[in-house]
Amino acid sequence: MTEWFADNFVSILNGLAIGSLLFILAVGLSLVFGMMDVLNLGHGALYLIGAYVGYQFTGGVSSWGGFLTALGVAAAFGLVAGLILSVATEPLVGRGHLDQALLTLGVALVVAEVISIIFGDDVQNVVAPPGLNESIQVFGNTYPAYRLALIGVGAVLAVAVWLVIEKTSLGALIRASVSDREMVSAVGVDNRKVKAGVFAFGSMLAALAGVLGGPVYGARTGLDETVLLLALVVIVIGGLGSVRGALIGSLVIGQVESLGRANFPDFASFMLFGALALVLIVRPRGLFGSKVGAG
Amino acid sequence: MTLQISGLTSGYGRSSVLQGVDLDVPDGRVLGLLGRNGVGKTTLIHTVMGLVRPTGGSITLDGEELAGRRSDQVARAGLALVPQGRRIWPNLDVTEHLDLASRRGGGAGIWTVPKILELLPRLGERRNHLGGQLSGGEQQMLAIARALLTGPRMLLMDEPSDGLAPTIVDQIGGVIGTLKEQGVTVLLVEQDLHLAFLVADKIAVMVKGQIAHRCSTADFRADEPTARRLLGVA
Repeated sequence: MTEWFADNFVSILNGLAIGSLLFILAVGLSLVFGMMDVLNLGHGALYLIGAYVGYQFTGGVSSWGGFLTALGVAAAFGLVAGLILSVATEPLVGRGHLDQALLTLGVALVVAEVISIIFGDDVQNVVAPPGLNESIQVFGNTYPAYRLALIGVGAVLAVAVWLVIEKTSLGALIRASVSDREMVSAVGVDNRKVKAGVFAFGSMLAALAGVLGGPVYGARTGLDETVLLLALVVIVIGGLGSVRGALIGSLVIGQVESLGRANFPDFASFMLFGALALVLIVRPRGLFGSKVGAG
Repeated sequence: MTLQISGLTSGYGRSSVLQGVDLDVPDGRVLGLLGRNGVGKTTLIHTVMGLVRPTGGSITLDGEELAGRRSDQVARAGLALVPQGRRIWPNLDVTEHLDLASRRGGGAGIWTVPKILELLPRLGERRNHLGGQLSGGEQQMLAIARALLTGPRMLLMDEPSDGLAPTIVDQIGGVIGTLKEQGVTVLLVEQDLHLAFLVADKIAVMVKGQIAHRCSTADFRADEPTARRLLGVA
């Protein structure tokens, strides 16, 4: 056991880093889907925008100024894009997921194509800021410092989001909306404003995830689809509209991806969907699904 | 606060449930709306509250047209809903329910949290419990508190006795009685005749999406053949 742990230590750390990134990406998607029943397939495109913003502002040079600017620009971009998506999907609330999927997927395809026209199809690097742009020793293993920082950022964000959702009146409003939004509306709250706020916040996190993930995965075409798929798997496993579910789902998928690829490289994709199938068979609502028969 | 409903039609998808409802609830009175299962009582309540879109007709509260408005607008105009099945948020505690309801809403909020806890002391004892951990009766009290804290001019109550033990139903009846003394107007949908007779001033009976009969509660109780014909009960 200890030997296995030592052999796989780096993979486990990688899994934690992937999990942190996935949580930042997936939590907004989960809340919007769980709360308003709006399926946003444009979520991956927001990540992609973030990744290219990271590339644009770091310009292949390691600098804190460039990296922080990229984070700020991506956050602003995400907020605005989230508001636009929220308004655009408003007429489709309650109209079935296919209509929403067509609209948001269409937006995502246009965004990906525009990015491809502007930046080309080559893989671009996003460079980690100074101090994090090197490897350090962790229990005798050489490991990139940036990934450790990513784990830290993910942990801080997870705690912050959890505190807001569980301990504040704003969080209570969001939880109530996830479980029964009709009754929230019946006490005089305009659902559209709640949805717009959560949409903007979730989209901001997705764009931030793009910048944060840049030094690990770079910026390249097709990344939007990869991360969207992973985020969807995470929220199906974790359960819709649950922050805790998004966190656990992200950590599980992070480990499945990382340990799976390291130990069973031929079956890596199979393991991802094997885990998904297993959860769906045992708990169809996901591990922490909040939809417990409203009404 | 007079609620006037005229020629109201509504339904789900292609099936029309309300076939032209005419009804008015006078200020400060409790109107008991009776009817067998499936005649459209809940659809009427949901349409008035803005949860189901009407296909025709009008709903006015003191002359203000509400038909076609979103439910949050209807709530701010002064209607509050105590829904069937209570629909408490299971993952919010009692305090969070009270805060969320009193933070928003619009009417002339004479109901405050301390006043609510005086009326419904059990809620104070269960302050930190999640909605999902409460008993059926406590959930019903919380649903009433949630509705009152939005500062309504009128309450829509949909089968508050549903699934509750007789002693709890009597308690709910007591609460509605207190509200009545304070001048709260109530449209009460009930299957439980005992509760309806206890609190209602007037009775209306729905049959197949329309109001088939209206009279005072005393007249309705005296006219057993009509009750049996309309409700299929004694």
